[in-house]
Amino acid sequence: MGGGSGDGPASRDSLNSNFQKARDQFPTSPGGYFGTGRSGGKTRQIQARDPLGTAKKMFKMLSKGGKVAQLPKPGAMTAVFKDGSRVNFRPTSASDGSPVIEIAFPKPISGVPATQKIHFVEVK
Amino acid sequence: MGGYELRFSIQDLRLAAGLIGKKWDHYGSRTLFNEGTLAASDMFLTTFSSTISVVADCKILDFEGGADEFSFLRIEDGAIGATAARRTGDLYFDFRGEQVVNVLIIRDTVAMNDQDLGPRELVVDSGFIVETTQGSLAICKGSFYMQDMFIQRADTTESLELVASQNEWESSLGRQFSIVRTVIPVNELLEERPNHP
Repeated sequence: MGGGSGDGPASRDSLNSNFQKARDQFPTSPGGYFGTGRSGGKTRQIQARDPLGTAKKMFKMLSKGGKVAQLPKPGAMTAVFKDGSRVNFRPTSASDGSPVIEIAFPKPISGVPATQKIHFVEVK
Repeated sequence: MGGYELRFSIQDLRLAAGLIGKKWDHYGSRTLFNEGTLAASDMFLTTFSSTISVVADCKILDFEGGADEFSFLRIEDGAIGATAARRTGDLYFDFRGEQVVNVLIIRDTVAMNDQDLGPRELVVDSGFIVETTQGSLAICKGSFYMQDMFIQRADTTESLELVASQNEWESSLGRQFSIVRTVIPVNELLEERPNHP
C-alpha cells in the first residue's frame, strides 16, 4: 500500500494510517487522490447513491484517533492529529453545495498528496 | 501572464495596521488545537484597546485549468467566537502588555508555467506577523486550499517557523511551479494604494 511518512511507516491512529485504510474502500489514483478529477487537480469527486452518508463514513474512517471538534458552520467537523495533519468534513460546500471532505498533511509523505478536497455527488 | 489574486483588501490591511502602537493582550479562537497553534476557521487578536478577527473563507479559481476551491483570509473588526473561546479557555497571553511595533504581511506568489495554459501567477496573502517589543506572533494559513491557520510564537520574527505549503505544488512533465514568499510591512502595502477607498 505504501505511503510511509518520512519518519517511517504510518503510525497507528495517524491520519496517514487512516488514509491508507480508507484506500481499501475508496480507491485512489496512482498519485493518491480519491475519486475522479482532472490530473493534478486538488478538487476531486466521488459519486455515491448517498453522498452525505458516504462523506460521513469517510470522515469517520479518516478521523479515528484525531482530536475531533465541531466547526462553526452547522454540521461541519474537523479532526486534528498531533503532527498537524487534519481532515475536515462539511455537509455543504461553499462551491456547489455538495458534502465535502478536505485532507491535509503538513509534511511530505511519499505517494500521498499534501492536500485534496473531495466532493460527494449523486450517481448520475 | 494570467493573474489570480487572493490578497488582503485595503480594509483588511488597515485593520491589521491598526494594531501597531497598541499594547498586546491575547489571542484566542473557538476552535483551537495543538496547544493553541492551530485554529480551524477563525481567531481573534486583542490589544488593550481593540480586537480584530481573522477569518478564513473560500473562493473558486481556475488557476490550474479547472475549478478549485482556494482559501483566503480576511480581517474583521471585533472578536468572533470570543464567548466560546473564554468558555473553553482557548486564550493565549504570550507577550501580554508589550507594544505592537509592526505588522508584516506574508505573501506567497505561485508561478505556474503550463505547456497548454501558458504562464499563470497566483498571489496569496497567507497571513501576517505581529511584532511586539518582546516577541512575534505569526498567523499563517496551513494550506492554499483549507480554511485553517497555524499560529506560531517566537522571541523574534527571524526565529518563527512559518508554515510553508510548497509541497502542494508538484511540478510535472509540461507543468512547472515555483513559489516565492515575501514578508512585507503592512504600512508599505498601504502606501502603495493610498487612494483606494
